[in-house]
Formats: sequence, C-alpha cells, structure tokens
Amino acid sequence: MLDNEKILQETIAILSEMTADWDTGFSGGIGPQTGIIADLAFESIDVVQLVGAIEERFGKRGLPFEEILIKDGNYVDEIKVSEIADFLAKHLK
Amino acid sequence: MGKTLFIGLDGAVFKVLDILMDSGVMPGLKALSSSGSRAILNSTSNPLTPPAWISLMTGREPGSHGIFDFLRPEEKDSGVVLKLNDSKDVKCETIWSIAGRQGKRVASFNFYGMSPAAEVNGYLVSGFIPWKHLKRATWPPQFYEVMKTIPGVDIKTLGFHLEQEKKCFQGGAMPADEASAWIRSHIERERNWFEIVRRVMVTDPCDLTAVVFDGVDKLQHLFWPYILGLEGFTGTPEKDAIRELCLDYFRKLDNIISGIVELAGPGASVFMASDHGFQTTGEIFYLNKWLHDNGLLHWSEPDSFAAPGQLTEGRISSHNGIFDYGRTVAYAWTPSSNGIYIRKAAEGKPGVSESEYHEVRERIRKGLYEFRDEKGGRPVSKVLTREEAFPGEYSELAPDLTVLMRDGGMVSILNSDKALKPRTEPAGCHSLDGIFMAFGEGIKKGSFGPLKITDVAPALLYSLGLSVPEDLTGRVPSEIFTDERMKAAPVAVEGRTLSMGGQAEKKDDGESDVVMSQLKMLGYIE
Repeated sequence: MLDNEKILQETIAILSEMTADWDTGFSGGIGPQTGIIADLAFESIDVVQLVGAIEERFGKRGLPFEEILIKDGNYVDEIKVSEIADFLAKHLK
Repeated sequence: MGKTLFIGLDGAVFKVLDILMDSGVMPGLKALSSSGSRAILNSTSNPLTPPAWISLMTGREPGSHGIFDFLRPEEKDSGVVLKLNDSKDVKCETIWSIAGRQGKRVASFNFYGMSPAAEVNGYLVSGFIPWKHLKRATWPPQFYEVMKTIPGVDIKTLGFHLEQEKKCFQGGAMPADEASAWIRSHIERERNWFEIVRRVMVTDPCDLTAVVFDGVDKLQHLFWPYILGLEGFTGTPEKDAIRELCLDYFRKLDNIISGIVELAGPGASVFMASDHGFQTTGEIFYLNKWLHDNGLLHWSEPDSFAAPGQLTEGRISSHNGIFDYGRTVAYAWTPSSNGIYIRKAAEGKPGVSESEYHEVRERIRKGLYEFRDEKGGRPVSKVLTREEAFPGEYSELAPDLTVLMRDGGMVSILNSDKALKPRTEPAGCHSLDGIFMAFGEGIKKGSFGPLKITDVAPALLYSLGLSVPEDLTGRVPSEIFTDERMKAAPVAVEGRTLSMGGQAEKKDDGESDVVMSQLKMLGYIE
C-alpha cells in the first residue's frame, strides 16, 4: 500500500526526472507547493506526457485526471504538486 | 548476410526526387539508386503519416493496428473528447519487436508513434515527440544521456516542435525570413539525427538500422511550388532564395543518405521508402460547412470564418468550441483524417440510431458525390466507409467516412461562406504514391510494379534472413531480390506476430472510463 508521503515523493521524482534538462528558470527544489505551469513551465503537451509518465510509474492507466485539470468546464491555469499527489493518493489506494 | 539498412523519407515522391536527382541536387541518391530497384509504394487509404508509418512498421493495415490519425475523438456522455495516439495504441507488433525476439539487433530512429519507447533488442528513439520528452521516447533509457554527449548533437533540435509543425496544416504564406529559419531548422534536425545514427553504426552496429527523415514532408507542405519551380514562384530574389534553401535541404539530405549507406558497408542491403507521396492542391473543401449546409452540423459561432488557407484552429483544444454539439449529428474533427464521424444517438444527445446509421451514412456519401464546383466538376473523388477504407478488427475506431478529394487536399474543419474555395496559392498535399527503392546486396536492378506499404516490413524481415509471420498483410516483394538470393534463401512464412504486439494494451470494458479521462485531458494540446 502506498502512503501519501511515498506518493508525494514519487510524484516529485517523476517531475524532477522529466524536467531535468528543461530551461525552466526554476531554482528551488520541487516540492508540494511547486506549480507545474508557473514554476516548471509546463505546456499542454507536457501535461499529457506527465500523465503518461505517472501512469507508467504507478502501473495504472487511465486515472481520471480531469478531476484536477478541469474545473467548471475549463482547464485550470495551475496545478500544484500537492494537488497531483492528493489526487493520486485518492485513486491509487 | 550483410546488414540491412532502411532510410525513410517522409512524404518523398518520385516526381520530386527524379527532378532533384537528374538536376544534380541529389547525385548520391542517383548513383546509389541506379544500381537497384524502384517502385511506387501505395500508401494507406488515407495517405497520412500515422496510419502509413505504422503500417510500414507492422506490415498490417490501419484497421488492424488501430492508428488512423494523430488524434482520435471519442464520444462520451460529457461530449467529444480527444486522444493523442502513442505507442500504446498500436495494436500490432512492430518489426523492431519481431526482429528482436528472433535474435536480431535493431536500431530505430525518428519513426512516428514509438513513444513511450518499448524495450527493443538494440536502440529506439521515437520521432514526432517534443525534445523535452525524448527521454521517455528512448530505449535503452541511458541512451538518452549518450545522445547528449555526441559531438554536434543538440538534443533540442531532434524534437517535434508543435508550433512549427502545425504551420503545415494552417496554410497561408510564410514570411521570407521565417521561411528561411524554418527550412534551416529542418536541415539541422536531419543532421542531428544523422549524428545519432552514425554513433550507433560506428560503435555498436545492429543487424537492422532504420531512420526516418521527416523534413521532406514539411518542406513540401509549405514550399511545394518553390521546390518544383512552378510559374510565379521563381524570378524574384526572395522567391529564388526560398527555392535555393529548399534545394540546399535536399543537397544536405543527399549527403546524409550517402553517408549512412557508406557506414553500412558494401555488403549491406539498403531499402528506402516514404509513407506517402505528394501532389499539388489548389482548393480547399470546407467539409463541416458542407455538413452544416446539409443540416447535420451546427456552429457555435456561425459568423466566425476561416482565414484564407486556414484548415484548422491554432489550438486543438479549441476544437470543442467550434461545434454546437447539442445539435450536431456529424462532424469532421481534423483536416488530416479527411474523416467524418457520425454521432450515435443517446439520451439527451443528438445522433443517429443504430437502425438509421447505414441510411444516413449513405445519404452523406451520395450528397458528397453530388456536390459540384462552379464549373460542374466533382471535387470529391472518393467517399469510403470505414469498412472499405480500413477493414479490420479495429475498424470501428476509424472515421465513419473518409473523404478523398480530387487533388488530394486535406479538408478544412472550419466555417466558410462557401464549401469549396480556391487556395490563394498552390500548396503540397499528400498522395497515395509513395516511393520504394532498394539497392545493394541481393537486390535486382530495375523498375517494378507498385508495391504496398505493408510489403516493406516483410521485405526487411526477409533481408534479415528471418521468416515472415503469416498474419502480416504484406508480402515479400520477391521480384526485387536477385534470383541467386531467392534460391539461396527462399521466403519462409511461418508463425504469427505477438498477440496485440509487444507493447499494445487491449482496452477492456472496465477501461472505458480511463480512456475518457485521458482524452479529456488531451484537450490541453495546442
């Protein structure tokens, strides 16, 4: 069973690996309050790739990511790392 | 038996290559190909990169491998959602896997749809992926770090640049300075891929080395009349400069081809192919406008029209806003598929019932055939049902109808005051007649009748000395191999491909929600 802290650390690890070569200009370490769009310069295609990487890492395809990506019918402007981890904690347990 | 080399040229057509070879722009290719075989290579029913390259790699038709376009719309209770096809959606085994599990080492570079990279017996780096995600597209994973250390390689140039590539579908003229930078970026990208190929061929040569150069397609989309030197596209310094840069791209590509063949050595068997051909398109058919005129589609903003030459929205996520789904029964989602999707009726949702489906589909087909231009000509050359265009186990994933235009043009999905308009200037678009060339060890000299794109995989497997799985659609084109070779190694057809391929995953009923959420999320794609 994955605990919340483990899921958060895995999420951070995935993001760290994914963005290692990117010129994001983000100097701080990735943490729960890091915004993937404002801080890590994610574009739409990057979000798609992130979902694929998360699903691969956790061995579960098709998680309902729209729960955190779409609010009131519109795509959100920002997603915090903690929101992703909380979402995963909810759906992986 | 020597090495087998495959060089893919996305969108290459003899109409252009012959001119370039005969005019001295591609002397290397001319010398190499003069000793070998050539044939027209018939593409998939809709000659488009995703279905065609996947058919080439699997030896199977799109109805079997399930890839029909870059994107796929899916009808859900909440509306139409979008999926970006990737390697996990390919439902047939690729030659990388077939050859690898029979002990052959392979190196595959820049092929469409191979990301995330599956494990292969050798190397694989997928194409059509933004550079930021090449790591996931690379096997073995550590080879990504190796690529970064190769002198002359800038990993950022290898990737697919969405902002740049979508210009091919947006239409319209490109300013000269932008055109120059755009062409140079493709020259640089091909050079970088060559450096990757060279590294592997020198340090760890594989039995099969295969690489695709996709700049041919991109340049032909945007600069077709310049490449052909059509009237009105030469004679000014600006136009001549664009043409010269295009020719320079082909000169550099010629050097790269010669370089790779030289690296493969004198005992190699070399195969070259394109996923589709190219031709001139001079008009745009606004398919959704036609569906609207026939009462099947309603616009969200009826007074919003496409800019001249525009085929689609700048942002794919904006597609959802184009149609009034509450009143739309049929629609075209992408220009590239030339496909019409007919919605299935459900509670609270417009569409066609099961019993009406065939009648409605036939009515649309008949109407399209009856559509006439201002001179009474018929712009729509063929309207194929999905059973006709893409027979196979996964046919139901294809558009209900595929509309082929008389000039091969991609349709516009946007609104217009007229359903058919001339383009402001001619452009290049896909055609069925791709190229096939082979030369080197065991290859006969001559021109042969058309081959099918599904014949390439069997040809490569045969060249590797392997048997051909019996469930491949294509055949070994024995006519291009020398009699000595055929006698020494008769074609063996035996065994079957791995069920669902090495990497594809069958979607069971329980996974439908999963697919829906993936598609929804893909609305992010611009």
